[in-house]
Formats: sequence, C-alpha cells, structure tokens
Amino acid sequence: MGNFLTPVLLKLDPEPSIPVVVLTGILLVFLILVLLTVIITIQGKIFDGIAAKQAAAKEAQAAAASAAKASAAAEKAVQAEKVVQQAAQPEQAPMEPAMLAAIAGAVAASQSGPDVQAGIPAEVVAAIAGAIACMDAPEGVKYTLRAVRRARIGGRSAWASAGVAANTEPF
Amino acid sequence: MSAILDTLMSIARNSGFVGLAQEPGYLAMIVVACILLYLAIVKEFEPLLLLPIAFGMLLANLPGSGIIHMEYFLAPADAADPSIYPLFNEILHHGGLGDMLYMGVKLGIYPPLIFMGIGTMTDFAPLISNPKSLLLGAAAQLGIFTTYLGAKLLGFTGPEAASIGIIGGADGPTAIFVTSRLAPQLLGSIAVAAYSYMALVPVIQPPIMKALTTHEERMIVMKQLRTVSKTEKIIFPIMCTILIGLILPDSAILVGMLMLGNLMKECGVVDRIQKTAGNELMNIITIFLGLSVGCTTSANTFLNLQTLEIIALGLIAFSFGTAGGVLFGKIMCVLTHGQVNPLIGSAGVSAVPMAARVSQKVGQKENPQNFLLMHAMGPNVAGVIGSAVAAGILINIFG
Repeated sequence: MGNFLTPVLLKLDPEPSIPVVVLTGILLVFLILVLLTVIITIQGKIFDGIAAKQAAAKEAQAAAASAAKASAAAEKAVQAEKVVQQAAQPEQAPMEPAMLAAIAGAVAASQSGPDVQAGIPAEVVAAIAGAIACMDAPEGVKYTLRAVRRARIGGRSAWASAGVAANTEPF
Repeated sequence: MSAILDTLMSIARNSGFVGLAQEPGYLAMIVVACILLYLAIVKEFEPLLLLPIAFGMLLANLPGSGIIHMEYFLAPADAADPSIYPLFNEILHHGGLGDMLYMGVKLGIYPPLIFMGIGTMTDFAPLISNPKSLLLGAAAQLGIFTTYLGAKLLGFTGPEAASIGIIGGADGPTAIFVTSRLAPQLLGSIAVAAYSYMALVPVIQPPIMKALTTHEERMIVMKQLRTVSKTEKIIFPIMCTILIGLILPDSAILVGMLMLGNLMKECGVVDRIQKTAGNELMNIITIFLGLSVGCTTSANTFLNLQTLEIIALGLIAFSFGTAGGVLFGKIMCVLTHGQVNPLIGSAGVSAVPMAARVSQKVGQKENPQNFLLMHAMGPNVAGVIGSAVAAGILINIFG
C-alpha cells in the first residue's frame, strides 16, 4: 500500500495554488465569523428573553408596591388635612399661605386622584400637586393637577448629548 | 611606547569604524534606525513598539556589537540540513542578550502574551450587541489575501507571501507571530512595515473611505446599541476560544490568549492578575519584542529590493483591507435599508482603537451629531479575531 502511494504523494505539489489559498482563506474566515455571528445572535436573543421576563416581573412588583404606597399616601393625606385644619386655627403658630396652599394641594391630589400613569409614586404626585397649588396662591388663583405622565424624551437629553460630545470630541 | 601604540592600533582595528568602512550598509541602517526613532519620538508613530524596534536596529547595526547572531537561527541557503536550525546549543553557549530575547519571538511566545494584554483592555460589548459587525471584521481581511496574491506575483515564495499578506491584518503581534513561523528572514522588514502602516491608519484610510461612500451614506446615524449583560460578556471569550480553537487549532494560541485576557477583565474576580497582564507584563513583553525584532534587521537582510516590495505590498494590504470593510459596509447598508453606516467597515482592519477613531472622525466631519465610535468598535475588535483566524489559516497551509 505504502509503495503504491509513494509515487502519487511525490507528485503532489506541497504548496496549493494561489486561487486555492485566496479563496479558501476568505471563505474560511467568513465561515468562522458567520458561525460566531449566528451563535452570538442566538445567545443575545436568549438573554434578551430572560431580561424581558425579569423586567416584566419587576414591573409587576413595582406596580404592586406603588399601589401599596398610594394607599399609604392617602392615609398620610388625611393626616395632612388635619395638620391644615390645625394650622388654620388662630391660637396656633401662624403658617405662610403658600405652605398652606401646598399642603392643601397635596391633600387634594391624593383625594381627587388625578390621572396618574402607573409606576409614578404617590409622593411625587402629591409634591407636584403641592407645588402647583403654591403657584400664585396669595393672589387667589387656583390651578388643578389633572394628569401626571412620564415625558417621552426623543434621542438624548441635553445633558447626555453634552456628555457624549465631551467624551468623544478628542477622537 | 610602541606597546601602547600597538594596543591603540589593535583597539582601533576592532572598533566599529573599521566595520563601517568595510560595510557601508551598516551606516545606511544606522540612518534608517535614526529616521524610525525620529518617527517614533517626534511624530509619535506607534512609539511603544517603533522606539524599541528602531533602537534594536541601531544596536544590531553597530559593527562588532554582536548583540544577536542570526546565523544561529536562520539556515543558510546552502545548508546541508536546514532542519537542525535554530542551533539551540550554539545559542545557549555563545548567545547574548539579543539571542535570548529573540528566542521569545522564534518560539512564538511574545505575540500571544501581548494578545493576552490586549484582551484585558478590549471590550467586546459593542461586538456582542451587534454581532453582524463580525462580518465587517471578516471582510476587512480581504487585504491579507489580495496582498498574498500580489506577493506571489512578485515572486515571493508561498510562506513569504503569506507573511507579507498578514500585514493587511493591521495587527503587529499577529504579523510577527506568522512571520516568525513562516519566513523569519523577513521578520524585520515585515514588523517595520506593519507598525509604520498601523501608525499611518489615520492618513491611509480616510481618502479610501470617502472615495467609496456617498455623502448620504456617511451621514447615516446608527441606532443605539443594546446593553450587554455581564454573563454574556463572560460567556463570549470562553465560547470563542472553544469554537475557533476546535475549527482552527493553529489560531488557538492567539485567540485563546486574547480571550483569556478578556475573561480576566470581564469576570472581575482576578483583578490583580488582570492588571499585571494588561500593564507590567505587557510592557515588559513589548520591550522584549520590539528590541529583538529590531535586532533582526541587519543591513544584508533589510537593505534590498525585497524590503521595498514589502513596504509597497503593506500599503496595498492596508488599502484593500479598508476597501473590503467599507464595501461590505455598503452591502450591509443596502440590506438593512440604511441602518448601517458603511464608514464603520473600515474599522474591521483591527489597529485597535485607531481604526475605530478614524471611522468616528470621518463620520463626524459629515455630521457633527453622529457618534460612530462605539459602533465602529464592534468591527474593530472583530478584526482582531478575524486576523488571528486568517493567521491560523495561513500557518495551517504553509506551516
């Protein structure tokens, strides 16, 4: 067998031809990197799926927590109302009208319940309502908080843009 | 008195001046070394490697310094049995500093260690979040194979042509690794060409990128990349090593060490050795590698037509690599209906992170609000993997 193959092997060129090297090389580099691309893509999809499930679970937890907080805030509002009533009594220490309005606004927000997007804590709503009530309270102008929603900012914020610009400018 | 004169005459006869007078090539090499030192120090062309390379060149070409004995490493053309080279017995008994340092190149020790250091500094997150950028890294390896073709047509042997072609990978350690295995006699010329062109990436690439893309294409703003989890970053180097190592065992050492360094960084539990690999160890190896490669550039192996051809082919390699990446970027742009900016394709030639910076800079010239840097880092690190894979293929064919 060995004697039979020797002349055949000796005839073989030990170095492949130019087109063979070029085409095999390019093909193999692409094949390996395409294989890597496919594997990383699949891996990414799996991890995205896991992350989405975790995010959904967290959102559900957050919704439950915010509901609990809302009820706690309502209780606090009732207490705040009492504070307003006490503050209004003349024998007690005088309170600024703006502060009274803020407290009243917060109480109103917690009681009347504006249209609040899920996930926004009740304390935030109360604080915004209080701030609104403060506006021009001494002049007797009244503002009402009707809805609280998260703003959807397109692209980067001014701060983020400035940060990116500062970090990449040297390049 | 005559004894003193005789001694002085003897010292003068043994001085380097006599050697310079006998072999003017040495003087030319000293001039070349000084030019490279100027480029490294004043122009800051890859100074971390070009400086020790240039100084090694200077030392090796001081007649009589005997810093390295390449005759122990390279078999002469008329050698009866070339397989006995390198002459380890001679190296260990009569070798000096240069010989000992060169052993790390000859045995392929330094480039993988440098790759480990590079791995500790590489962030594969842009690549993992946009896996398609691996294809741009593959396309940019076009320069390697077209240059191989050119070198063969110029009359270089297969292993020599493969070593010259790998300059197109724009990856110094990979070029040195392949050349030390396939054509050690060309090591000096190829290393100098590779590092010089890597430093010239900001000059070579932009005209090619602009010529191959339209204004509209350069204006494309790419979508923000998704966040990559720590687990994904840890799995990537392990998976890459297993996959590439099994398909192409010749690439395993380069890719494996790159991934080891990266795993050290990403896992976060070996902070001390990660810092050592990326700083002290890498700096030490860089000195050894640069100096020993510089020492291989003697007048008779460097000052010839081959070196000029290698330098010309190196430019072709970089240009074709850039063009390959940009053209593939254009294809991806069409296929994704304008979601890929073709400029990031040029970063596929490796030269981390210089090539990615070039993509960012060219893109920002067209649209100051366009930030391509992180998008270009994907093909850029993919280029490192791609050139290591290409190196493995060439070693497999010609080794």
